[in-house]
Amino acid sequence: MKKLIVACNAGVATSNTIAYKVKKLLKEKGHEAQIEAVDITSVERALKDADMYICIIKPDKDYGVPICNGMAFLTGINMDKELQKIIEVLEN
Amino acid sequence: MEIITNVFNFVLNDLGSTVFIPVLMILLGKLFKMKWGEAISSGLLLGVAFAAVSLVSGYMGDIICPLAKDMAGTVGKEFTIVDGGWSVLASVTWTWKFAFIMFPIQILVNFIMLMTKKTDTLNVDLWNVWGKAFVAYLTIQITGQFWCGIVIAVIQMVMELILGDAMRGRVQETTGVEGITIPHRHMLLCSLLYPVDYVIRKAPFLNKELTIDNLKAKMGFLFDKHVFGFVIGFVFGLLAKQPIASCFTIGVKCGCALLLLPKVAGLFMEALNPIAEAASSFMKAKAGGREIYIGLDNPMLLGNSEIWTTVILCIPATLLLAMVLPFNKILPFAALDNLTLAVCCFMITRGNLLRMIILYIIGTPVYLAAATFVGPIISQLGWENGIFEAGQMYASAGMDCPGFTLIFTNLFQFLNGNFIYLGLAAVFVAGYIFTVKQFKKDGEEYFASLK
Repeated sequence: MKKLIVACNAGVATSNTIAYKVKKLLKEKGHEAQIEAVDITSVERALKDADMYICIIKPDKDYGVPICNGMAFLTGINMDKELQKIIEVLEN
Repeated sequence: MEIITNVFNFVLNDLGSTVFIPVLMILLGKLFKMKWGEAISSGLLLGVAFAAVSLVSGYMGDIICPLAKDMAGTVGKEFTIVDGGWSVLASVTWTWKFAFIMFPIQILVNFIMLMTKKTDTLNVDLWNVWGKAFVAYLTIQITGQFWCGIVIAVIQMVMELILGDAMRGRVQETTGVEGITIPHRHMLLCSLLYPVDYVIRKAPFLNKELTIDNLKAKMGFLFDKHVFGFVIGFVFGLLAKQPIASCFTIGVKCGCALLLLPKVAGLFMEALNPIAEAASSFMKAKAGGREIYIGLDNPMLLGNSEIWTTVILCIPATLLLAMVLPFNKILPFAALDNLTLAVCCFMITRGNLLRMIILYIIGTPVYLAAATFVGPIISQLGWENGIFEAGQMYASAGMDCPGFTLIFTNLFQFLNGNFIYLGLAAVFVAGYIFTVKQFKKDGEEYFASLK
């Protein structure tokens, strides 16, 4: 299964909210993925064996994995577009 | 009639709240059309989360308490409250039987304010309703009146939303994201710190741009929870005059406690997610059709390295303040890296490092005073519900909006003839109004500069 990473301050509140929302939206479209919420300081370690980074903050460097904008899943703005990016990663 | 009373008695009094709340959670899950299996799983997960937080806070207390005792000789005082950070506060607040009613109250208050055009912010960050339950619980404990708690919680909700409206320019400026704001209670501290900054920013030498390059890149590993815990634990060991070998062991144990805490708090989040998500989708659907700003928590600000730099540089000062301030009883540990305070300083100064550090140091005693005040009250709830080991006190040295909590939970003491808190509240509200006006003005200038 593909592994996706979301990160926030402690890896507890906002990141978990996004992870839950994305999982739910993916399920509705018949997809499944492992989505892990981590704290922002362990992003680099977590991304070593991950397939995508769902960002809240624009990353300051290239981690070598595709990214999408996690804010979309909180605000609802451009949510479908960002979800599509995730689905593309899952289908590849 | 007697049967009904008996059932209510059994549910509210005989069943511990660590059973009652998961059961409530399962019923709420059904209300939000979850399948039985999912609802039961979420409910049980909440019960498991209570057990887990009890385990980790107990472990942490067993390490910190003896150290705090042994430290007395070195630092000249004994700390009686363990700093478990926000995760412990949030967890213990959820054991309050009425914590859940904050969901509908928050939604109602937000909708009324949207409909009457008193706000343009829709706060969808429903996980953080625990912060409202928290002040409500404290107020009820202090006054003995249920309605007082609800009134204070509602006042907080209103103040958050209006400040959220005022801050949206600054939020866009600092995050680059349009259409959002941060109506989170931790921002209410700006009411006390913005006026201070307004004065000190007039001094030319405090307006210099101090940049410390890449401190985060070089020191960032320190923020790995286990590394942070190890270093602090080691220092505590030295202060408690433990042999060097023990200091290493203590360090590792402290690293373990800090690494596990957020994982445990994550269980609450997982359990409450279905309800928070359903409520937030409901709010978004109902509020559609007009221009609104989505209210969120603060993680999108953490890309600004000044916040981390301020926290790293102020850790020694925080520990020193905790030791020398005579009123303080908490030993900063899990919330020693007080990001919420640094975030407020960042928003006020737009990232001027020198002023951020000054504000951070001015703000810290407020956090220590509030934690010392809250510790005995909130720990009582933890003891009653078997979350905390009896007699051991917990609080957070980084509790959100300490000034508001300290003043407003005591506000109703004027009913008993104590008018001090009413006076303090007037000062706080004056600072709040000033802060709202300034943020609004700054925001308008920022939006105008975009055109």
